[in-house]
Amino acid sequence: MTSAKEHSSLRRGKLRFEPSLCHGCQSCLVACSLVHEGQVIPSRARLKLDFDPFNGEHTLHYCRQCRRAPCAAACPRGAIRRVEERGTWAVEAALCDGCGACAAACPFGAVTLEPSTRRALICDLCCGQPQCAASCPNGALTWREEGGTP
Amino acid sequence: MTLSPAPWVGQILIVDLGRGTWWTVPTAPHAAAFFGGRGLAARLAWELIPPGIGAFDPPNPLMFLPGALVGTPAPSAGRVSISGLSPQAYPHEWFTRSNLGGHWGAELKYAGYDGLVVIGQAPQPVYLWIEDGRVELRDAGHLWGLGIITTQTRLRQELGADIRALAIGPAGENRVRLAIIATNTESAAGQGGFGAVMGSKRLKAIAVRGHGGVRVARPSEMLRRSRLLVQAVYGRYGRPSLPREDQAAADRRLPPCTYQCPRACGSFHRQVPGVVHPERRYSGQFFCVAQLLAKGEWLKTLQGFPAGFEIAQLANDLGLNHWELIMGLAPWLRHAQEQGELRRLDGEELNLDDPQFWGQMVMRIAYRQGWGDVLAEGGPRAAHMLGVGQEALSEFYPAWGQASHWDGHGSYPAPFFPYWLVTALQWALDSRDPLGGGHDYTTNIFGLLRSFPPEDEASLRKFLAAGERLFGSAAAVDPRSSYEDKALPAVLHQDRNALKDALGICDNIFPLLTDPHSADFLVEVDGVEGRFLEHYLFQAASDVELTREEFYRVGTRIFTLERLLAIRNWGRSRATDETILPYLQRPEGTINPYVGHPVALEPQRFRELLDACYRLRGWDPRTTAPTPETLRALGLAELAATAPHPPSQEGGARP
Repeated sequence: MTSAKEHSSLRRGKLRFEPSLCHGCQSCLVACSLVHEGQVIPSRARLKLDFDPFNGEHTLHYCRQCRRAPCAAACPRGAIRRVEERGTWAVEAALCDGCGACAAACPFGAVTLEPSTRRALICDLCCGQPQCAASCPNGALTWREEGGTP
Repeated sequence: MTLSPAPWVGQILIVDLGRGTWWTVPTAPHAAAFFGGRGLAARLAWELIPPGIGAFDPPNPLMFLPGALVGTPAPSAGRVSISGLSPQAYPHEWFTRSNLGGHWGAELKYAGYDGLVVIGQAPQPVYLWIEDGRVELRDAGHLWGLGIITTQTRLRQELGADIRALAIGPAGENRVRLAIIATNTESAAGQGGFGAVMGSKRLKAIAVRGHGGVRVARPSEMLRRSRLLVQAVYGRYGRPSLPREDQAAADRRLPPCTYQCPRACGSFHRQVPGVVHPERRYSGQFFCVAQLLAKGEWLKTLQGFPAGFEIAQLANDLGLNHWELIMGLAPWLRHAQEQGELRRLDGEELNLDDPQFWGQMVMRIAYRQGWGDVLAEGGPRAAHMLGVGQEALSEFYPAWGQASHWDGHGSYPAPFFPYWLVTALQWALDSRDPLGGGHDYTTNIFGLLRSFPPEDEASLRKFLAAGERLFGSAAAVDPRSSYEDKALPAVLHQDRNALKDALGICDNIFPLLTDPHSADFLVEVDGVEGRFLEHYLFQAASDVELTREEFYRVGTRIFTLERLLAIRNWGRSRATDETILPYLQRPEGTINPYVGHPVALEPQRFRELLDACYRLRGWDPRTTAPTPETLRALGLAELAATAPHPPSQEGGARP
């Protein structure tokens, strides 16, 4: 049991989004917020969807886990730190003062600011088992493990 | 904030447009007994709708109630029940419901409301802007007159692209009895004419943004169960994919229909050049009855793709009900024309084969211009006003002012005998076209029967065994059967439909009973039979512990309360239910290959089926009134003794 958990915490990979397969159902936001916040609260999801039902094209803003992350570089308090073994970034909540510099710096629009406190919420890839991709019904958002088969 | 069990968020917002005030009432007292959506609507209607008021009277409460599962990960749980006194309902503007998908309902829950009830009439056009605890009535002078899609676009510019809005078009403003309330491009509360009620209240739109959350009782289990259900849906219906390229409709996308829905029904086309208005281009979802405008040879509605799509989008933007236009008005007008009763309207040629005429017709109806004014009353009222095609009414309108739908007659030839007996019973006891949320039997039983040829005896045996399992009777599904046991599925699914609309899940997915690809034709997910999957989802979503029996009884309670209201306010009787008989006495539209010839209705045997329905329900077959024992068993006895009273701010709380 423990070893399986440890193994999963070390899984690395990338999220990919194929817009033509997205029909805007919001399952990714629902799953993300439910897993991280304990309730369905898309305003606190670690990814964002520009939903356009009039044009039928939706843009998903999701974290690429940049090696040199502009969000981390922009943070004046050094609150965004690399979690090397997972290949992700994490926000040190106690250090974050909600200035929003990270969100402004992210080229992918993938940093969420919690609506009331404006604290930064950044994708942690659910320790290598991203629940957004697991909930995407139509394979628009997928997870490809490093070295794994797509 | 009132503490509420999951997945409710705790309060219902009441807005009085006349006084410009709003307050909230707690959801909790009604949650476990009525869930939400249609259930909560019936409960509130019992209290809020006294006898003697009409659809356009300010006290008519226009209720927007997302189902209880809306906002959770339950597949397709984005649906909102919209109800009140209906201007389309005929002959009485009685209480009924409509329902729409999209993303508005979930957003309302994120804003902290399990529902919204609008009463009164604003002195001038307004729109309602709800952002969490902030509720504003804003001037809508600049939106009045605009189409539904344009209105939403303007609101997105004003309030941000992440709002969700419901709106009416010119048809609603002009109190057209086939006016819709819609969101996105083609998600509409179509039947009922509730757009006209919204227009009569001078409420142009309702925009919402919510930052809050919806709690579910067991998050990881809810996700797991929802995902398993999605796989079962794909096993049954396949995954959404872009259809093959067609020159006229090349620029396609998957339709963004409804929150949490895996199916993406219909198609979404972009920048389709107009035929009626060649200078315009149209984008939007294209689904269901609207598609008949492009390929409806059997209904003689064929206009080809670009024109049919354009007419559908024009109707969407103007705010007109596709079903009434295509299945009601058009066949009725055509029939009156063929009978020589109606050749011209105000001197203008009636030409239903011409897209230009359709373009004119939708404009004139929406703006009540010239001959459009009388058609804006809907088929049944128009027939009486014009004094034409009255005999044809019972050909295309089974009952309640709504047009044919899966009843085997009129403009809808399927299903064949004996399957239409079940849908006819659904019609007889309902207050509207019951198929809006009630395809259960047609999809799961008739649809399954059509998946194998009559000579395939092995499949037929399997099919009968599935019927036995689902209804306790093979005769309830047997294509060679007649009247026997048809009340069983009718009553069961009437109740299940009420439950489905109270949960906010979609008729295009639920119930997930049968699957032509499965070994025994039955669906099973995670060891749970298809007929219990709604409960399976609810168990993970809700803190309220209900046994299967208690859970499914909620549907029966809702259906029974709706009947109590119909009796109290409109004197509904056995004779009312039998209104459908003349329509059913017309020849059926298609022939059952297991029978080989058309089968005519035997009115006496149909009346016996009605008796069976009332007995199964514990209603008196003479009056259709639920017996005192039935009311007690459903926990409705005390409520039944209470009188209606108007909503009051006293005891409510400001959001």
